[in-house]
Amino acid sequence: MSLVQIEGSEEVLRAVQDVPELHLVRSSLEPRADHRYKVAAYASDRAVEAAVAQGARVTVLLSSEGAAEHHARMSAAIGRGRAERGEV
Amino acid sequence: MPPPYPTPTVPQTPAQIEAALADLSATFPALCTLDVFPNPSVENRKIHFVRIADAPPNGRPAVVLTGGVHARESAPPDALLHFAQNLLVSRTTGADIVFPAASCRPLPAGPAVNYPPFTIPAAEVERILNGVDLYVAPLINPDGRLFDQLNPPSDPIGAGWRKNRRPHPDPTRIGVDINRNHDIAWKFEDYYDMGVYLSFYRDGPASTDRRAETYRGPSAASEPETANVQWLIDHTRATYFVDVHQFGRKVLLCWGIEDNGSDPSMTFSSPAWTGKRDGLRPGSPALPPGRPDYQEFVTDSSPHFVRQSLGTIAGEMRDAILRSAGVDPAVTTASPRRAHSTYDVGQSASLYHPLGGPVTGTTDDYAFRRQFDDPTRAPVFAFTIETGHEEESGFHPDYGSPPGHYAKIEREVHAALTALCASAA
Repeated sequence: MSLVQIEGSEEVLRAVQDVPELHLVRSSLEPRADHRYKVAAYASDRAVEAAVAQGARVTVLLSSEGAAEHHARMSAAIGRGRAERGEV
Repeated sequence: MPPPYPTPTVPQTPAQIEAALADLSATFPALCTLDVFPNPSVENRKIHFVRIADAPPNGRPAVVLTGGVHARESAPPDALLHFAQNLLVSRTTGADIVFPAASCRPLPAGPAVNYPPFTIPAAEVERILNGVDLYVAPLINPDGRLFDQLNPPSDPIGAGWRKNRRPHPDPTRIGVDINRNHDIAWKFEDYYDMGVYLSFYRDGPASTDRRAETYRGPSAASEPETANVQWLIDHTRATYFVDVHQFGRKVLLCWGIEDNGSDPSMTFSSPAWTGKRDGLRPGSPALPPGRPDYQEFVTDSSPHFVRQSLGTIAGEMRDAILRSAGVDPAVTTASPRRAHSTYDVGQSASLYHPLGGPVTGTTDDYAFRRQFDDPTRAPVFAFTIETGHEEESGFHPDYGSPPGHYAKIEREVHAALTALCASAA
């Protein structure tokens, strides 16, 4: 899953809500000019394509590979620390 | 661990946070007291908080800060813990709290934004700790945090785990959203006219589906973590309350259940309005003809002027964040620092509009309601901060430098909470 910004009109964002494999982070919603909105989402590559097809402008902030690498690196560091501290 | 306490370079585990709280009370016994919540978590972990003050309770306003309600929101527990550590070191040594100059590289590709040093003067810390009883509960939901940390991605969509870990034989039905479980309009079908509400919004104010991220639980305050927060609010008689969440760069003020209004007959406790509240924004075309536009009452009379003060205090937090980034709030010149450090101020009820409507059972609304349940508890000023941003890696900010995502968030949390405490002191 990638981390993306989705921008569009109210109608576009409402339509995007129904796209499978797309999780809107509603607390990130920001109004933009011309009755448009921007919202962050976690989305599969397929969902990104579907959102674009609905008329949304999508900016990928962290690709699926980048997000997976970030999570794996952080989890490994946390796991190492737990082991060193004897938390396990 | 003796001071100094550096900015963490990796998210801290629940055990680390618990150990750090115990360490603070041992290192600063004159200023800091460790206390335990009455309920262990659903996985039987003890959960602690600290009280920080320069004197025994003597009627000074209680400021209650909570974090870690939502498991995947990495930064708030670490930032709250570091806030407590920094206050204690400053008060003990007389040294200012100093964040050095820093840079942050926003996603997707920068460029880096440079921030000047940010200082919280020791005199300000002293004034705060002389003036308030500060309660810091950095991690309300330890089970969820550990699950999220050890099982990435901890949910099918990759955003991370949100709820607590209330067991269920079906893994898709594990957990309750603590921030929909509080005893405030929990039974939303009684509070709202759901026909009207759902005529405009796709989803309800919480979910009754165990699989949903916003599952409200089987009953109000059913979860031990929820009951703990309610206990802390009531036990301390909190006057100021902030629940720190992530993400969206917002300072949110109550109510979350409806737009704020001035008609004292429109209250959550009024049976005359049962099942008749609309949940719509003022002027919404979805409001049925002849139906009064319901707005939840907030007093704005002397001596507390609660409605006006909510906005004032939230604005002070927003401005303090800007100043910490080297931006003069009074000058509107566009700059990268301003663009990446501007928090929106608004009411929780309109946070999701038009994607969603008001929400029920939230932590800040529970704190806020207590002044209406018991007028001797007035005033209560309750807020939620949504710190961080998707350009700072969303729910799981990068703790490394570069890119400096967590460090930026931590500065902003310090700035906002210092402003709140200064207002309270």
